Amino acid sequence: MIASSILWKEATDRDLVATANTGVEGSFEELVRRYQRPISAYVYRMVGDYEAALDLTQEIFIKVYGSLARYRSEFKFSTWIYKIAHNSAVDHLRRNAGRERSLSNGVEGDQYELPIESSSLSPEQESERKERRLEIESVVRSLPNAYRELIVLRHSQDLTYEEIVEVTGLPLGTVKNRLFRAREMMRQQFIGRGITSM
Amino acid sequence: MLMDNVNHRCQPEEIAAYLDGELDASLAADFERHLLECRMCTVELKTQQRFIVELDASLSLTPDLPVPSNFAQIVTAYAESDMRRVRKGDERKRALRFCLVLAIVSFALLGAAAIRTVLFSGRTLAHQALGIFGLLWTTLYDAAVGLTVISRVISGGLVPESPFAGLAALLLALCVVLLSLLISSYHRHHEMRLSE
Repeated sequence: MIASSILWKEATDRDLVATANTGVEGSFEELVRRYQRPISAYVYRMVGDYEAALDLTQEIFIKVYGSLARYRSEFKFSTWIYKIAHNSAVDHLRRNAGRERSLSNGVEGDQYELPIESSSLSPEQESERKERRLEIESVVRSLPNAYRELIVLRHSQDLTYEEIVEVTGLPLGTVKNRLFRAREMMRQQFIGRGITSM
Repeated sequence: MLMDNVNHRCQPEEIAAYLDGELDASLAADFERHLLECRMCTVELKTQQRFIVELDASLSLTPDLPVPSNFAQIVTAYAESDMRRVRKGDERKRALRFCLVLAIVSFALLGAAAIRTVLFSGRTLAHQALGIFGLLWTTLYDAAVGLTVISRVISGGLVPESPFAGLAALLLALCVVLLSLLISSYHRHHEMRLSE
């Protein structure tokens, strides 16, 4: 059992997909284990609700399992799973358009303060960084969906423009333009809040 | 020419793409040459760079959203038990074969004691179905016979029995069609004249 879990850890995403498709036990579970944190974090940043983010993450993995046979290995698995996550998050936001308004106004009820993995900063630096991060998170939440998704994919999930194009299905020019506009919008908001150091 | 070049390069979206490392090598080199002679772009580049660094530093840290420790196991169990998403034809066939075998085994287990009850209820059901079918058939047959008799009586009264009866009926039908066409064309002309 331990030996097989070590083997799974060494396998690439593509290998795991291939073995999951042939019905080998444990391979899909390893895929879930690999992506549960980034996907849940991405979904949380998109929908701004902890409970909804967990439910959606579960739904996304069930969808992934159902579509594994359709996955084509010439694409990166991470891009493919983000595409499914993105579509699910967008559908969720569309279904809950009323809630989305409250998300934009920053009065969402079930928000969760995301703890960040520990770093080697001093307590003062840590507190300053935390404050700045909370400001940024709040400004990201206030962005319209079309801009928020690009900011999250680019800066939180570290996707390239090309990968963002694949995930969102938007043309490259639109991605480039919207990312710039989203950053500009954020910058203006910081200036509006009296933060000019960014 | 130089001015055109400068205007083209002074796109803030291009500066953002450069900072994101999304310009290909030759475009990036062009842009770096342009930066040496454009103060406006240099200022914009620094402003955007500061902001992007700040965004990356804050958003790229992996947030530790608490996920239940057995999340992967639960999700896998849900996914694998979701029969709506049986993914392969082979799996479907296997499931069907399994169901058939189960059905046969359960019938066999019913045993000889229950077979009389099963056969009796089957026979009763078949009798009832046959009765309903017979009633429907008789009703339809009687209706068809009645309609035939009525149509014969009507046609016998209208068209006298002669070798030219069929031809006469055809001519009559033609006359009716022509008359209706004439009436409709008359009305159309009349309306056109009124509209003029």
